[in-house]
Amino acid sequence: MIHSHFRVGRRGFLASGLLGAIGWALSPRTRAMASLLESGPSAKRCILIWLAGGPSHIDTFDPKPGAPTGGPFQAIDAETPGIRLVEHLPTLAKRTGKLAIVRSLTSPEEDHDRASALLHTGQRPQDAVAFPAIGSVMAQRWSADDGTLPNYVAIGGGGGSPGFLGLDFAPYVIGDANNPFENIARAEGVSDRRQSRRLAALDAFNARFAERSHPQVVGEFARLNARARRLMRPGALDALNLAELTESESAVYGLRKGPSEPAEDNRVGEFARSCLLARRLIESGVRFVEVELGGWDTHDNNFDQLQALMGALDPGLSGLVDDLDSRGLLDETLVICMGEFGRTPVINPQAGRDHWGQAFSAVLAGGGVRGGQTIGQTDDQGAQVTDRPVPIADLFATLLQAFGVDGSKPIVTPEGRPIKLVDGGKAIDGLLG
Amino acid sequence: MVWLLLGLCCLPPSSVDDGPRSLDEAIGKPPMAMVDDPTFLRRASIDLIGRIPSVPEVRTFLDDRSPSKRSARVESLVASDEFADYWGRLLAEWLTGRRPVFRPDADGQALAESLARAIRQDRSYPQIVRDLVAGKGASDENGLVNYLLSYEADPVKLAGGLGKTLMGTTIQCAQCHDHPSARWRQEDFWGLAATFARVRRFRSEQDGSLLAIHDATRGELRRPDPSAPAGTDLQPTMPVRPSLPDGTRIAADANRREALGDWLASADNPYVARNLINRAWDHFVGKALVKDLNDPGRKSATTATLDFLAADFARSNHSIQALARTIATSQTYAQSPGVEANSWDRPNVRPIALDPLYASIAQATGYQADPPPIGDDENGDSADDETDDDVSTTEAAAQRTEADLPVERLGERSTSLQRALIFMNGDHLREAVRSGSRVCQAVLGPKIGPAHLEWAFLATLGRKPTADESGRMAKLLTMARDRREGLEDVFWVLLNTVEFQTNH
Repeated sequence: MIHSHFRVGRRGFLASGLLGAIGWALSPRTRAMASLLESGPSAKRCILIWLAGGPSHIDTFDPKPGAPTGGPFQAIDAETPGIRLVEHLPTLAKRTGKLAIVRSLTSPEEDHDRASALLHTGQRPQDAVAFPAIGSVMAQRWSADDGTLPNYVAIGGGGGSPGFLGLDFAPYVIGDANNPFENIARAEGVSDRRQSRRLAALDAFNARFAERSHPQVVGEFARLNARARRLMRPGALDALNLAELTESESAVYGLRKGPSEPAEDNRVGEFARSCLLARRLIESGVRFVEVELGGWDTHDNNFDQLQALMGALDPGLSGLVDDLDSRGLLDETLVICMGEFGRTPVINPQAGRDHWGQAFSAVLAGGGVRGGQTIGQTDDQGAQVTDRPVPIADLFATLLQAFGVDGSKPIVTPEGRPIKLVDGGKAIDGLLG
Repeated sequence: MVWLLLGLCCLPPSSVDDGPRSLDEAIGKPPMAMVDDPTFLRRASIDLIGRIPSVPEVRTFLDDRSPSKRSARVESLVASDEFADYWGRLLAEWLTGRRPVFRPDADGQALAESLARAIRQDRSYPQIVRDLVAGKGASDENGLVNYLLSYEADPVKLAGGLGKTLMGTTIQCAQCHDHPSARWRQEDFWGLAATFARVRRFRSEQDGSLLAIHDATRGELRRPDPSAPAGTDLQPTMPVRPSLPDGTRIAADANRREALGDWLASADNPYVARNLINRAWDHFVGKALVKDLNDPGRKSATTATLDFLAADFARSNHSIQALARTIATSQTYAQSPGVEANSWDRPNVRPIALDPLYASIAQATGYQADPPPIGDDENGDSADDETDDDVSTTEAAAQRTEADLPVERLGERSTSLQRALIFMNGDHLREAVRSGSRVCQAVLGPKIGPAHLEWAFLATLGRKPTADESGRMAKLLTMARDRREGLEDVFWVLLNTVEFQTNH
C-alpha cells in the first residue's frame, strides 16, 4: 500500500512544479491580511460546539425553575457553589470549575441565517462586506502552517463563511466523523506512476493557463490542489481513523472500542465521535474545528426534544473537556459552546419556544478562560439581561484577544474597503484568566 | 470610433436620442482586448445554455467565415430550448435562493419548468413576476406557486425574500428596525408582509405530497407591538394593515396579492426589471452593477449602464431573451478578463457553478449522471432511494452537502477541497474519463492518434491544442500501459485543468 518512491516523487514535483509555478501568484488577500498583528495568544486552537437552531437558554444553562414560563425542568447544583444548571446536564455540572458560563449574550438578529452569520463573524451581515467567520480568521492567522490538514474544519455542518478572506480559508466540511476525508484513495486501476504522470501533465497545463489568464484564480485552484495532494499522501490521515479507539478514549466519551461491540445510540454516539475527532484534529495541528449539533430550533415539543439533545451534549462536551485536559491540550485550546440565539420565555401553544436574541447563553472552557464563574444575569424569566450585557461584538473581541488577533486594527478588504474585524466590541472583563 | 461602430452593428438601433445608443456606449470605455472565437463560443454557451459546446458546435463555429457569426451564434443559442431550460433554472434559483430541485415542501424543479415555459414563450418578465406573486392553485398545475411555497407561504419570510430576490433591496432588515439608510421603515416591511396575510398552503386529500396555494377570505397578520413593555408573559401584538412598498394602502375589498402583483408589474416600478438586469449582469460578468437598488450610489458608469439596459429591456417588452441578447452581443461581453479581480465592466474568470459544471462534464464525455437530488436530510429517507451504482454514496453525500447549501454560500465556495478531491479521485470522474475515451474512439476509430487528441481538446476546452500541448499529451499516450488507458489520462488531465473548471 505504501510506496516510498511515490511519496518522494510526488513531493518532488510539488515543490518544483506546482508551487514553483504559482508561488508568485500569492493571493492579494493573503498579503492584505499578512499584517494581522500578533500578540502572544493564550489560545492557539479552538473548538466551537455549534448548537444549530438556537438552544433555549432557559432549559439549559440559565434555568428559571418556578417561573411561570420556566418549563418542567428542575435545576441542579453544580460543582461550583452558586452555579445551577438544568437537571439534564449532570456531567457538565460536575465540571463547572473548568467552565465560564456567559448568561448575558444579547443580539439584535433573530433570523437563523443572519444570526448564525453574526455568531460566526461577530458582525451583523451586510451587503457591502462579507465578513469572515472566526474559524477562517484563525485559519488565516496561522496560514504559514504548511500542515497536511486544513486549518479550519467543520464536522456535521457547513461551518462559517470565509467571506472576503476567500476560498483558501473556507472550512473543510466533514459530513461523517467515521469517514472524515473522502475521495482520498486514487481511483481504482490508477497506479502510482500513472497518477504521477497525470499530475505532472496537469501542473504543466495549469501553469500555462496561469500565464495567459487570471493568476489569482489559478492560484486558488492550485493551492486547493496542493492541499488535496498532501492529504493523499500515504498515512497522512491515519491518526483520524475512528474504527479503533484507545481504552481511555472509549472511557472518556462512553464509546465502544471497536466494531465488535454494540453500537451506541445514534445521536449520542455521533456527537461523541465528532468531539473525539475534533480533539484528534486539534492534536494533528488543525487550528479551528467546528462541531455542529443541530436540532435546537424547537418551535414545538421543546422539552422532549431538549431532553434528547442534552442527552448527547452533556456527555460529548464533558468528554471533550476531560480529553483535552488529560492530554495537556486544554490550556491552549479554547472551547466555545453556543448557538445563534436563545428562545422565548413564552411557551407557545405547541409546547415550543420561538427565536429570542435579547438574552441567551454561551459556555467557554480552556484557552486561558477562567473557569468556575458565570458572567451576567437575566431577569426571573430569562427574558432580559439585568446585569453585564454582552453584545456579540464583545464576545468576539474576547475571542480574538485570546487568539492574539487585534480585532480593532483597521484592515483593508480585497475590494479596498477599510474595516475592523470587531466593530466597537471590547473584551469581556474577567473572562480570560 | 471603431469599437462604437462594431457595437452598433450588433445591437438593435435605439430610438432615444439623448441617451447612450448601445450598451458599450453606456459603459463609456472602449473595450479592451477581445477573446478569440473558441473562447467566445465557450463563454457564451456556458452563460446562455449552461454547458460547454459540443465538438460539432465548436467545429462549425470555427469554420464559419461570416463576420457576424458571433451575434448569429448568440441569436441561435438564445432561441434554443436549452436557453429557456437553463434560464428557467437560473431564475428559480435567484428567486428562491436555492438550487431548483424537488423538495417535499416546494418543488423547485416544477418552478424552474414553469419559468422555462414562460421564457420560451418570451413572456414579459414583470407579467411573470405578477403571476409568481398572485398565483394560486395546485403545484402540479401551476408550477409558479412553488415560489410562494418555497417561502412556506409565510408572510414574514415572503416579504423578506421578495424584497431581496424580486426587488433587490434589503427591506427585510426593517422587520426589526428602521433601515439605517432610512429608505425602509418598519411599517413598510410589515405592510408588505401583510399583503400575504391570507395566503394558505393546502395539502391535497388524494395525494398527500401535493401542495396548493389559496387565499383565505379573512385573517390579519399581527406583529410584535413595539410600544408594549418587553419581557412579559405574553408578547403583545398588534394587527398590521397591508400596504405596498411605496406606502400606498391596499383597499379593504381588493385582492391583496393581485394589488401587489400589479404594482410590481407596473411600467414605472423602479425595482423589478432593474433587479433582473442586475442579476443577469452578475451572471454574465461575475459582478453585479449595484449592491442594493435602493442605494445605487451616485450617477456613474454603472448606473448609466443599468439605465441603458432598463430602457432597452422596456423596449423589448421586457423579454428575457432580448436582455440576454443585448448583453451577449455587446463588445463589452466579448472582452478578455482583466488583470484586476472583480471588474464590473468586463467578464471575470470564475469557477463554473455546480450544475453547469456537471452538465459540461456530461457534454464533454457523454457520461450522464446528474448531481444527486437533494433529499430531506431531517427525514433521513435516503436509504430508500435508488442509488446510482456508478456514484459512491459517500461521494453523493459530499455533493449533496455542497449542493444543499444556500446558493449564496455555494457561490462563495463554488470550489473547495472536497471538489478538488472528487475531481482527482472520485468515482464520477473515473466513469466520465472512461466514457470520454470510449466516445472519442467511437467517433474516430479505435486506432488512437493525433485526431483523438484534437477531439479531446475540442470536447473539453472547446479549442484545438497547440503543438506544444499535443506533444505533451502524445507523451501521456505513449507512456501509458496501452493507448486506450492513455486517452483516459488525457481526459483526466483536461477535466482537471483550471481552464476546464472556470468560465473565462
